[in-house]
Amino acid sequence: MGATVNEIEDVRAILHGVLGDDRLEGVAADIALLKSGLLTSIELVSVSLELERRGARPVLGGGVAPGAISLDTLAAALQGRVEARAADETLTQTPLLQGLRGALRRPWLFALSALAGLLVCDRLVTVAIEQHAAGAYAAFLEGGKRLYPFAGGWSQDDFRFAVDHHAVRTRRSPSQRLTLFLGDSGTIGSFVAPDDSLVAQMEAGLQQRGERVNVANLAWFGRLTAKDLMLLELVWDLPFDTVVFTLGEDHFSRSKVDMWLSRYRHVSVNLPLYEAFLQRIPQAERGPFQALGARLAQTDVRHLGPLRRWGFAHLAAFHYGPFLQRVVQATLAPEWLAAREREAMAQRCTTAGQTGTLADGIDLDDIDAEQIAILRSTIRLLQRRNVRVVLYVEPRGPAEWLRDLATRKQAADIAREIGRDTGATVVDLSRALQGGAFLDTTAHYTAAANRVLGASLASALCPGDSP
Amino acid sequence: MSTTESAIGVERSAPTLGLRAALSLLAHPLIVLTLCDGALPAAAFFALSYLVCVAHARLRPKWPRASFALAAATLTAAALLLRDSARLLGFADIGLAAPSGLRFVGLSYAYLRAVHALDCEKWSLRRYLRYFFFAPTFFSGPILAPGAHDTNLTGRASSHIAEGAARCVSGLVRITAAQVLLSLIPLENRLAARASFASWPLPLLWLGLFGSGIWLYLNFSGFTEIYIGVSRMCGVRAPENFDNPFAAATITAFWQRWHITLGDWLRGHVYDPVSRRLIAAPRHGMLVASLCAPIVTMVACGAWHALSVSYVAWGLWHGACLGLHAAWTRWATPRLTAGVRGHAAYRAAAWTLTHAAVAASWVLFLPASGDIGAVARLHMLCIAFGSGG
Repeated sequence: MGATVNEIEDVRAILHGVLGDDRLEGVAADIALLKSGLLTSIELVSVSLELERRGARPVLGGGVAPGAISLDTLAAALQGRVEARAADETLTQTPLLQGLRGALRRPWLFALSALAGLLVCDRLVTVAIEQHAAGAYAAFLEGGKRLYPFAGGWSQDDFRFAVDHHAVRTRRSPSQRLTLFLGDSGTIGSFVAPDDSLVAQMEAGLQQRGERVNVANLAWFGRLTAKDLMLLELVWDLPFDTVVFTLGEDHFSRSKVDMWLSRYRHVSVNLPLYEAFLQRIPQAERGPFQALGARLAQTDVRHLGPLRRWGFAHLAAFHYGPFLQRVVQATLAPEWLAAREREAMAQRCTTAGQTGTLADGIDLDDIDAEQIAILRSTIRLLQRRNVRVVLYVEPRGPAEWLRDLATRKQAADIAREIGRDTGATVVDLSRALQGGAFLDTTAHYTAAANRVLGASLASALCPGDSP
Repeated sequence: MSTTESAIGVERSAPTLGLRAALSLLAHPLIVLTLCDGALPAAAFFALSYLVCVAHARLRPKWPRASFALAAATLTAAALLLRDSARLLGFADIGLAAPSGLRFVGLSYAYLRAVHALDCEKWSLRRYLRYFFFAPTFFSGPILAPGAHDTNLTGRASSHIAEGAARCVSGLVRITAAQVLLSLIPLENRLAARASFASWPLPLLWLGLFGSGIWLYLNFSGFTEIYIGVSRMCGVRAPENFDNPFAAATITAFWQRWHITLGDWLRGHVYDPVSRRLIAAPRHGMLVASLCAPIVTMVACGAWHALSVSYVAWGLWHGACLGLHAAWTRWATPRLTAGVRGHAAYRAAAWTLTHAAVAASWVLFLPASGDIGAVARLHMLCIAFGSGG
């Protein structure tokens, strides 16, 4: 029931007294006073107190949303009436919603039409990219020099698709020896050009020493041995003679492995590759692999892995999404709005001139014995293939920041133990860089720092042949 | 009016009942929480809040204010203990406090619903269970008051399903738009913020901050649309949570259009009681209430998001802006002529100032870093015209 004219005028008079001005003169009785800015919240409290002093029931509550309080509702409160207003239906009357509501009168037809429309769009995207924009896609992938362009934001999650577009598959020279370099976002050369990555710099260093070698950058962000094994499985048929593993403390820390497993969906979505690699391991050594496989499978459920694998298997949008995103955000967007991550990243060296402290090493009770066993078995498997294995211990942070703790074990110590047992070459560069050599975090290096690392690796691999 | 058991009683049609049952089984918050290690704290908080509601219902007739204060304090302490204590005390792996976005969000909203529930005179365990764990709005807004939850929609089920589906599609469109916007904005995370502040020119930075607000609006309102849509399919009319906040020309109007149900909750449980007490002060009560009540309310709002310096500072900023606006409205606006107040330039200036203040606040809110020193420096850089870029 709406308020009468007299009731409204009574309320108007009270408000005039409380507010001390005539701002509510001529205001319609159903205008929302707070939302229209006619009353502030504190004024509403004053008005409520005055109305309650005159015997009104509390203005707030009783189903009246504060945003809907009007002269009408205040008059109702003054008269002791409860005037609950239904939810504000005007908010739902937009043309889009009205149109959708009309279309949804036949929900099954709408759902089927929407699905069919999406599938047709998806097919059109596939045809457009694969037949008419293959060059642009190859350029987006930087000619296949890496598994994704310069930052993880442009990566899709299907390792097989990425490797199929990598130079190691598309334009490898058969006359050159092949070295595989596995690693993380630091190894791939995040935010620097592909030729400035440490992998490319190592290849250049080796070639300067007269080595006819092609080093394939097969790094992907995330510090997990399981991910490296999935990528190794995809190139197992290639005639490689050296494999470089990037190692850091995260690779041997159980808590960090769990963190990486839960954080990155690209690891769980490629679970079948891990299971395929497991078949190459002798039965007696499979225990740790199976234990890690169980952790991966658990994560896979949380990440909706089966659903996402179905998407990757059937829909182009899953694979080409990052490319389309980049076209919109970096190519089509006007210059002042375009994504400029590489340039922006090059301008900032967050560790330059800064001081910091990093506790080096892993707590002894956090060391993941499974990871160590898995790495040993993989090295032995590769050595049975006459493949040389190199364990590259990556920089942990600016050397001057690192702080040794006697109660912690360093990745380099573990790598050396594995190297002693298996004969793998260990290259410890964990303290090779100073402040200023890092980009946004201590995980990513400047082009100059990559040159230092690449040269050190080349020299460690070919010690006698300095250029 | 208190809501009681008798409010339930409108006959619900079979399809919506079936949908609600299916949703309860398949998407029950406890199942989702189990997947992110959050079931135990949620169940513990549920049990505690039910006991508190029952105890409050018994004590309320004798000591209404003391009983409410004790109940609210108990719920607040429990929510803080479950949500923030482990992180603040530095032991994150005790199982109760493994950081998980869903769990944090779920518990924060459960806390708001539990305090809302104190307004009811009587709860049965079954009804409280249904209210507390109502799946579509468990993890996020809109915050359902018991009355809204109990009020079932009448009419043909097919029309509710069509309306609900329309809201869901509208929500998906907003979320998609937000995703497209995501990598254009400078506040996606702390690293992106640092990069943007180091390299973007100042005008672009301001535009980026405004875009960050648009992104948050599209993302949050998109999910809210879906929650409202699914609620409607289940026969429950969830309240609206956004009303075109970027049309607001004052900070006060902005908060009446942004996360409306949280604003209403804060108004009812923090702002109203605090301002009533302050107004009653013998000297300058109105002035003190105008300036202090919004600050107390918005600091509480920041702390509700997370107990961190960054969020509390965000609350202080918004509280100060609201206080200043209240003071301006009371003492300056009446001195302006109607011609000035209605002039397009005055309205444009008000809009710009409002949204500049809101945009600047996202620096504290969105990166949610806890690295307050760095964030504060970025904030200063942004606000001080001419020193950025």
